[in-house]
Amino acid sequence: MTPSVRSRLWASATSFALGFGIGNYGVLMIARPDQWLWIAVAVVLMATGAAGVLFADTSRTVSFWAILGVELFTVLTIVPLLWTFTVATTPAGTTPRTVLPQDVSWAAFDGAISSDLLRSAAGTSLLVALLATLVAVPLAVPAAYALVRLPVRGRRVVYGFVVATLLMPVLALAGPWADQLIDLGAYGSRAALVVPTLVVTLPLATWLCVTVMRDAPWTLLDAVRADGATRTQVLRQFAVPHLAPGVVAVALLVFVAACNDFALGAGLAPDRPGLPLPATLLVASRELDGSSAVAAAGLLWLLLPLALLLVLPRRINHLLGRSYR
Amino acid sequence: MTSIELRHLTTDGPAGGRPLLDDVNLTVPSGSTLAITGPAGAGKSRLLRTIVGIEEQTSGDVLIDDIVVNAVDPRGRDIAMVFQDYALHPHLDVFDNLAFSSILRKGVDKDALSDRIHEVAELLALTDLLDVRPADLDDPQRQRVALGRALVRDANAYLFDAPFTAQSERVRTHVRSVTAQWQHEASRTSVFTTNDVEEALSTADRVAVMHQGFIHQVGTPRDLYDHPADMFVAGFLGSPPMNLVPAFPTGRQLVMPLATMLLDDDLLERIGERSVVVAGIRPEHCLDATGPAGNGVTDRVEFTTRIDDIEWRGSSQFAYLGYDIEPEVESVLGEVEELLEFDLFQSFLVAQLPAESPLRPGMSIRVVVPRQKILVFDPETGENLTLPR
Repeated sequence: MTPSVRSRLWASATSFALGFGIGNYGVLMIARPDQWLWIAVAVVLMATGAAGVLFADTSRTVSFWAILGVELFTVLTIVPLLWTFTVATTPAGTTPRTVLPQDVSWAAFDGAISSDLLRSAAGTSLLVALLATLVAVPLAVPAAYALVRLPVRGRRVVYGFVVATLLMPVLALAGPWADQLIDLGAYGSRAALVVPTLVVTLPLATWLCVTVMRDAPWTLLDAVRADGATRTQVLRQFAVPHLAPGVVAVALLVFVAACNDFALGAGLAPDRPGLPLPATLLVASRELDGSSAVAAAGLLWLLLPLALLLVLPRRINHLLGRSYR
Repeated sequence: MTSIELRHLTTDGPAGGRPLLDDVNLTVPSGSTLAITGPAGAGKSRLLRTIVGIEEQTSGDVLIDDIVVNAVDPRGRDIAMVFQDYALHPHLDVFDNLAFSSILRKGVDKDALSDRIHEVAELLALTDLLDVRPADLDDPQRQRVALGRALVRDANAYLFDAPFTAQSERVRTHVRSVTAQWQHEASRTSVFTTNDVEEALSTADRVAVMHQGFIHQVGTPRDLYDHPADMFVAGFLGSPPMNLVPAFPTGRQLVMPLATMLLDDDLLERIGERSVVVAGIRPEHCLDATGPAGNGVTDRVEFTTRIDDIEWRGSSQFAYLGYDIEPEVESVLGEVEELLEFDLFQSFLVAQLPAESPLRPGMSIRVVVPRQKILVFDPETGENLTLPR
């Protein structure tokens, strides 16, 4: 659908006004070198506004509201990341005053990598996430198959329950879990975090696997069966090429999500040995060498989802983009 | 080759709904071709899937070579099937897709298989596409690959679910003829489904007309066309379909909207006490009374009316002759259509006339119909009352 001229003109006006405001504020109120950042953002927004006017009355299917949205999204994502980078690379003993980094020092990264506390916490996170993923995915795959393929009564309710569990505040479960773990004498141990983490991984894996199952070419399964395939052949000729890539992507996503769980870790493992990394960055930040180390560790931890997005960008977008159904 | 028989095959539908397959009885003799035709949603695909063994019936038996195979899995039944949506493996190229079903069984001679694949690819104009993946093919090519996959395989019987729909009119004839030739060369038993009535009548040894999960009639194409068992078969077969008009028995006469016909003793007896029946007239049996074909008819029903519209088709032309019917009769016909979930009745009669006849809308025309070609149906049961008992 081609957007209307009026809609494009409104988007152009909004973009231009926003850029004008940001540019003026940057020039009048912000000191260099951050001033250049404000001016750059202002130039992009005002150029979008000008382009919107030029293309308003054309048949091109471009939406300037969408372009404006993407630009704002980029600014709001890049600026915090840039700030984290600046904090992480600020030399010890100095306080960062600008968003753009001034004197870049990599000492905090070295410190984060060699810190026993952070290495132990990262190990806990990876171990707990791995175990919780290994348990969740094999359970989620048949559950998703049943939700998509089998004429089971009440499957919509079950699917609704899965989605509701995803939306539930995990912290609310930390208290009851802590009581149980204290009774079992497992409070604070690494292994004790695995079962509570299933509250995060199992519904997420099921929700994502439902998308994989919905998109699977089931007629092909019928064709393979009609062709006379044995169970092993069905597995090799249908499940491996058509389901396995999706399930692997789901497993990696669930693993990353479990690695980044903060609430359960902070609530159920207050002692250092059992504390996962995201919780360590907050709870034990005083024991680390200033805010630079925390920022550096956070950026290093970010490499995990970043690597996932770089390796499987299309599949991840597909899974996350279509799971709303 | 192999014979297929279905005995009282029934598959229940959703709770409280109509059965998906309703007491289906069919026999496909060894080496013959059966076409199953009917409107969309008739249950044709479900029937094929039940025969091949990927759907289970609620009751009834599937027999292959007179052996009940209800408990036999698809591998044991060894029936090849072409799926309506092609079901090609997206990660395999055309050659591997063609080979797929054959290599699932052990002991395949790979050289012979390769030769066979090239032969089938040649027949179906796929030779240049053997290295191409399905995503890079267009729909007609994908459908030919799906068809080829079955032709490559050496199976007990072959099921084709709407196998020619994606082909263009010109290519379709060729693909149909290749498939028919392939069937005849080794007397292969095959069943295919189609919505295209002409395709069913022209390609198969026998035709089954199916609707709402129920087989209305099975027989040779000519038998079905000339002697439809009921009103649905009569209305469904033929292009354009048979004209079905309300008719009122009055004494020895049958009064139709445009004409009146004398009833013979047999038909009069079969009509009995019915106050309204449905008369069926095929468009090609409506002849121009002034032309040579019309002049040659002796036992005739004749009427004069005004032409509402003309559709010129090159080899013939369709004249649309409108008429009025009473609202209460229209409501009876509406109920029949509702029951069958199919549009059978129109408020006009279609006459298929020679292309060279100088016809135009608004002009008057005298139409002759051979009396023995007019069929009479019971509106409630749909039964053809003109068939000898």
